[in-house]
Amino acid sequence: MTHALLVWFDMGGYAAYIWPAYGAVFSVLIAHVFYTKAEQKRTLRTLRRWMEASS
Amino acid sequence: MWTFLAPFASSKLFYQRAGVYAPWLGWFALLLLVMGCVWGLVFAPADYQQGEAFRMLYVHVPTAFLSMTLYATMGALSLSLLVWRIKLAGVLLAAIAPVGASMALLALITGSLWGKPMWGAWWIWDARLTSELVLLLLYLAILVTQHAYAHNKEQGDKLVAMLSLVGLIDLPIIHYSVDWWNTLHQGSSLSVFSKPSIEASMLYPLLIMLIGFTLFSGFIILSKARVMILKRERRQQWVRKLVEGL
Repeated sequence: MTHALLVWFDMGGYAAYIWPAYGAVFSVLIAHVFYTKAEQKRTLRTLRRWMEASS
Repeated sequence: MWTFLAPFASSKLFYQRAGVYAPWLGWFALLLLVMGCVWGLVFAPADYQQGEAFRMLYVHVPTAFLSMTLYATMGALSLSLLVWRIKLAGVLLAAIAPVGASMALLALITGSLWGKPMWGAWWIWDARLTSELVLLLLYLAILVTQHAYAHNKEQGDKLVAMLSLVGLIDLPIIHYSVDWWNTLHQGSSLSVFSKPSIEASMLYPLLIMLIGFTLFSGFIILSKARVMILKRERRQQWVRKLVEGL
């Protein structure tokens, strides 16, 4: 079992290329999700403050 | 027809509709991306020439495809902004650009990580690679323009639209570069008009990943557009009600 897993992880010797590529792609996608969520929260907070000040 | 088009004329309607669709896009994207990764990395057979290295295909092709499709979408939106003055097109332009830029960057990174073991070089100044780099630079120019016009968004939108239209010329160059020039880059695996040059067992995970990446981009773009609408329409009554009601 462990052996099969290691063989798979090795990607026929291409592990050093495959995993960084998948890592880069999915880190960027995840970063987009969190950044957008944070931006949404920040905007709502700023807008609420702005509205309180202007009303 | 009008019920379909109405959200594009009213920011409020678009904000509401996008709020309904975005989570669905997000969850379906997650499902498809997980499925595509497991299928592509575990179950798809190794390539007879490239061995396991071909599995790069499942992240490289979708990112490259989206970098171009999103740019083409920006071209269409630019037209509707400049010709029909649809304000929402400006918002969508601003929401798509960062996603498209990341896709172009990722296509270059995954391509480089694929090129090293296959061609023996991280980078070559070949037609496909260079024209994709130009696409990334176009995206960056658009992002810089947006940033510079943060306080005059209407003017910024127009400049961005013109810039995107001029840059459209790069899309056919990228697409046909592998046919027009001698290049190390392999030909297309997929085509709308002919049978795919890829075996079914390798093709299905690719299609799943393509749809997954597309839905994901849609999710991010709609979410970003909603935030931008709130900012831009902050003086409107409905935004005030919405923000104060939360």
